[in-house]
Amino acid sequence: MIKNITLGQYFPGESAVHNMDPRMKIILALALIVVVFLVESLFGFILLAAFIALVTIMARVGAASVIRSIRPLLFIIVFTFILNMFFYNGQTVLWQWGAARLTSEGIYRAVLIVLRLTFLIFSTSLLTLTTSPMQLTDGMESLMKPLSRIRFPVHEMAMMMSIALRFIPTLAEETDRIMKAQMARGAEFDSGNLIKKARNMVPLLVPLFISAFKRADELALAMESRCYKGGEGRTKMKILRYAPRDFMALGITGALAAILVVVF
Amino acid sequence: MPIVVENLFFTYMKGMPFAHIALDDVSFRMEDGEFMGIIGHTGCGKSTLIQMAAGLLKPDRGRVFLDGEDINAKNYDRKKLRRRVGVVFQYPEYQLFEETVEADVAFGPKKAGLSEEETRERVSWALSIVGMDAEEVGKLSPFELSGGQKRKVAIAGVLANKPGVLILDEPIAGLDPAGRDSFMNFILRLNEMGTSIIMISHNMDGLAEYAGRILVMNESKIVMDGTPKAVFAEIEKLKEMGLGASEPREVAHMLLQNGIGVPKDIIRFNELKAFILDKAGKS
Repeated sequence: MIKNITLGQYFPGESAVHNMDPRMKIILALALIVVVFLVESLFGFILLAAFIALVTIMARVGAASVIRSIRPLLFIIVFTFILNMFFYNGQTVLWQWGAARLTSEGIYRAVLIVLRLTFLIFSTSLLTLTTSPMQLTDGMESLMKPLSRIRFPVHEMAMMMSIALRFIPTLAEETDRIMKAQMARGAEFDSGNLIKKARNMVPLLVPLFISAFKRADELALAMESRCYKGGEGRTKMKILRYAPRDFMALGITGALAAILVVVF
Repeated sequence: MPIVVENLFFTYMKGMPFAHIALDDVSFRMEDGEFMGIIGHTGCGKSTLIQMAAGLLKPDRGRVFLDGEDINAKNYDRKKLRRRVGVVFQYPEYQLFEETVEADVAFGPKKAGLSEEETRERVSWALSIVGMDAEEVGKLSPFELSGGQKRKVAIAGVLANKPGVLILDEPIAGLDPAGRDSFMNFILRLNEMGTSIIMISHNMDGLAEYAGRILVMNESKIVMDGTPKAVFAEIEKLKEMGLGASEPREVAHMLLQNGIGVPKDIIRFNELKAFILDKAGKS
């Protein structure tokens, strides 16, 4: 039924990349994305590819899991590729059929977009593969702290996010179980037209909502009984601290970014 | 309807870092009308096995036959399978969804395409088996009922399909002693009416009392298969696997270790009681 939920695609392990401060990883991943969109030349992309390959090797997550992360977005990539290839308003026309024109600028453009999207996905999935969801929200909370000055509920957002992440596998398991229970009673989830399909979902959704609300209620009670009252004055068990390796990573990525932006 | 399970293999999250083997070459044959218990510690593959026996999960390798027909074959009629094999999962009360008890119990028969009349009959029959009155509770919302009653309604919802084989996964977890007894009694009644029962349970006393056969699973394999008396006789082996035997058998074993000769086939309370009274009367 529900297989391979990649939302929490964290790949547990011990490596230099895993052990980095999540804040630094988030910052560097964002920086890398910006760089990906600034680079124009082929050599720049080769350098970027080499860098990403190096980080993948250092993280020891396996090239396959990084490459696999493209799959959900494959359609969008192919779609933009085709769109750019045939509808870009280039000068050197190679082939034309109605509105579709194949120009050498279009081909260049299409390849560029595909490379950019791929590298964007690679760099973000390197972040999510090596950082547990908990660390990720911790890092985000800490990075967005300044926003709380303008009354943005940073802590609440982070808490909501970590609760949501925590419960995705639980709810997925529950969905699977209820689905099987109803299937054993004769329910069908994959037949009929759209309206019928939607109606067939009722035996699944009603129990799922009921148990989700029940869980939320229980969780709230458990949190309150442990004196949770929001972020104010709350201390953390694991305080994020930058280590030398974070600055090293910053230095290396910074140098690469500078070279790529200035030279290429 | 004999169930034949042949060389089942199954691995969860195959090819992923969290992959683990759930079933490793599991085979058994179950005849009509049997009452078979499955025991084993958490994560040994029991639930996976019953899901496969019910056709809710496809094995990586191996086959499952119901009445001699391969249930994973392409042209097998799944609807027929659903009517023949009923499954009661852990905490079945979470599967309730309809507005009234009646409607919820009627879900299965309706899906099977029975007429209004037949459906109504099935509903009152199923509710009566679990000791409830359709007149009394039929129009209530299932969510108004108590926990134990919800479970009964959910089980009635499975029984309403009149399955020839009923598979239960830890059906009595969380029930109070009275609820447990009445539950086991109606399972036994169903079995006497000819329904084959497969029941995963940690309640060894219940299995000692009612089951005709017990499968013991350990680390994704079936390691023992026999009558409760034969299985519980090997109490030390069971303990090694983190399991145990029925309470009377445990007591008998302790007495034996202290030099009191208790036969190994005492597994039920009344057997132990008879033995002790007999001893006491003699001495």
